[in-house]
Amino acid sequence: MTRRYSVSVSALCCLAVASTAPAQQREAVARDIPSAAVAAYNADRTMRVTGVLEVAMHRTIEGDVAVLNGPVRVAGRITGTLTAINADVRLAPGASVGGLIVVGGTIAGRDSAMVNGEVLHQPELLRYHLDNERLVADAEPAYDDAWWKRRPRRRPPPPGDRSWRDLTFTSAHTYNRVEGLPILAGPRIHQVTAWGRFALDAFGIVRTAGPVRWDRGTLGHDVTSELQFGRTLGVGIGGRAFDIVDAVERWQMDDAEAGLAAFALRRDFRDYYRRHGAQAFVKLHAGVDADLTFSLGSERWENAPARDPFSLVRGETPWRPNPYMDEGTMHLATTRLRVDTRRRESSLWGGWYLDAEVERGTGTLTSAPSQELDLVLPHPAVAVHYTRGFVDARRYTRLAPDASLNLRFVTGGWMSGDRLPLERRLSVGGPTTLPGYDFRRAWRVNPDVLTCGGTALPGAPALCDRVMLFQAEFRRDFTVNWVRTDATDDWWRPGFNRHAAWVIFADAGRGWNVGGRGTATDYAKDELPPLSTFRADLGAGIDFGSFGIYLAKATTTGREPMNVIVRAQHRF
Amino acid sequence: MRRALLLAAMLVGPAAGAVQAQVKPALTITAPAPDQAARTGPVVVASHMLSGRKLRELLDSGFPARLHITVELWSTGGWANHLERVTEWDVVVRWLAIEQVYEVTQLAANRPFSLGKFAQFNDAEAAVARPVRAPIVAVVGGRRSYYQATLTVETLSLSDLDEVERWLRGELRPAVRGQRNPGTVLGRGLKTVATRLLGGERREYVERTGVFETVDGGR
Repeated sequence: MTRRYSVSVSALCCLAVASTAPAQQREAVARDIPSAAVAAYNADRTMRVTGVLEVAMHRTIEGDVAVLNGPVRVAGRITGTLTAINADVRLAPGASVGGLIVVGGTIAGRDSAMVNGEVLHQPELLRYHLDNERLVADAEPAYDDAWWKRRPRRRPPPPGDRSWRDLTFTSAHTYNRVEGLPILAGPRIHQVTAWGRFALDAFGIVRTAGPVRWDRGTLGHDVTSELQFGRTLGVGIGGRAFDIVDAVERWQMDDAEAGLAAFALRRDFRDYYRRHGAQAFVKLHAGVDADLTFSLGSERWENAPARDPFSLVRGETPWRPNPYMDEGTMHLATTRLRVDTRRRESSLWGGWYLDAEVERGTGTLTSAPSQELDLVLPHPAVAVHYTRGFVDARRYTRLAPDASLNLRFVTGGWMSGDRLPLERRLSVGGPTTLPGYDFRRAWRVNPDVLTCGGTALPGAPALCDRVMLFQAEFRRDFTVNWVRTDATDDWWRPGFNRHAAWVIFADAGRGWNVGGRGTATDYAKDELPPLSTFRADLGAGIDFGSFGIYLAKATTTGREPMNVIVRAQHRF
Repeated sequence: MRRALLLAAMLVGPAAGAVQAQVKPALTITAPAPDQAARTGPVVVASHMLSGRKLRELLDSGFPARLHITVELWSTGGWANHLERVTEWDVVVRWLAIEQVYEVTQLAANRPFSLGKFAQFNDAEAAVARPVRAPIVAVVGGRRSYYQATLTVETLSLSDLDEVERWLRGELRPAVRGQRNPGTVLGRGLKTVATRLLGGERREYVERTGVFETVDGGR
């Protein structure tokens, strides 16, 4: 520990030496402290030093001395003015200096030393640059709020966006009851050019869920290529060929959190289907904050039965069956708008998040069996065409440095045409949408406005044609110092010290079907269910950022017990 | 007498180190006087931010320490406070093994500014603690305002070293990590875990000024 303290380096970098001290010049240029310091540094006869200056007890420096960065330790004598720029000055008892100008540093020992002339002191840092060994003070940067008001809306691609290519071997960062842990392997090429960039990601997929048979249940592929013109603003064209297992309702929970729940708790909060096909797309992008994508694709949809992958707990419990899906070939035309002005390096700004999509599908599908008895009956393939829309809009508002109010509105579903295939149906309920209601277990909800009857079928699929969801939360930050606190404990002492937020929230939502089937969850295509039929909950919890724990209670279904929810990210 | 003792300690390196080891990190932000608030910003001081044995060990092992300072100007009134202005800068400290010095660099407005190279750890820490006047002035118009400073301290993982090198070479762009080559994800993960196990995690300090009212005509 003491190794470096014993090093007595005087990193003198003498650029010019003066023999006398022109005190009269000093008085003339001392208009303000930084100007005086700069003038003293640039004076012809000033001895200039960069780094440490140590003046020993019996040593005398004749004339003016200027030091950059320092520190300066004086035990001897300086006949002229000592100018320290962004340097601390430490005067030993008996030290003597002719005058003292300190900018961006502290002065210690002044009372016990002798300062014969004027003392000018400005503690704040001085920004400067060197121009041919002459020091030039930089003007204080004028405040320009354009950078942070504009930047979130049109930030350029990150600097890490450089050309590279390699052979990748990685996981898909998720885990589920159909695939287990998908492993991706293959080449990636990202070429950045003056006019834009080219990207190719060509992955083979190996699914680890047993039984491993080396057929399409185990093997897949996902190849995407995009040619992008323009860096900040521009257009990209590309294509994708895939044989993947995809989630039905991606909007409810992200890959990582769904994978963690499946791997740790044997609870898979998603349903899955196989997609095998290709698509082409055109993407208009504005930095990393917004893009608008048009895509055309042709793909085959198939069932993806649950397998039996490993889980940390409840290994003897069977997985929830993956529901039957409609099977067939579909042609999809999709328009998707994504806007995200929230992101910031260290925490959330207030901002907007919008994810909106309209999809038109045409094709031929064989309906999934609706009951166990249906399994033995042949289902004819029928032509299907539909239009489906989906909007997830969020507003994050900071009410104070440590408080925020966040609102979310989600709606989506059938817009026109035939009834939506099962792959495009929707639901609400569960830890991410209505945490007061169990995920796909809302037997007490009558009528079933959460899955629209899905809980009566194997795997409890989402069966709603439309859903609507409102979420609101108020967050207030606090410091967790039950065990330790940054202000008083040793720096790296082990313990639980985090900034956290307590959260109170309310949610309301429901799903419904469109058409005249006469059930309690049916409404006309241009009709909205009364707000009184929405299911709602209230709750509170603590969010530590990387995980949070919440209590939620259904308020519109009194028999629903209180739920304890653990999340691996913010609520939304 | 006390000053003399302090001075003696200052001139004797190891003893000074012992004194320094007992002080705690502190972040302070001082608002300008009301009649100056429309012309000048607050002064931020991050003192003793490198104290602590573990951080010192990480620094000496080649892990740079990064301090990210954000200063926000908020106005009060109405049912909620309003974020008026924001500014931010970084300070990077790293140990240069060849030169046997600590290098301290400030990065503001995408420009590097050297605060010096120091053979002694305490001098590097003093350079980090130099008062910085944030270029963020209060809004004129009789509004009641306050500043909040947030400082995060973290030792950079090896995956960030490239970025630091580019900063210090002057190839400055916004310090956003962005997309990384996933081909080295396993290696990065292991290094990150190692860094975390060593204690190289993020620390945060938050300080706020009192509410002040801008006197009009100061600009």
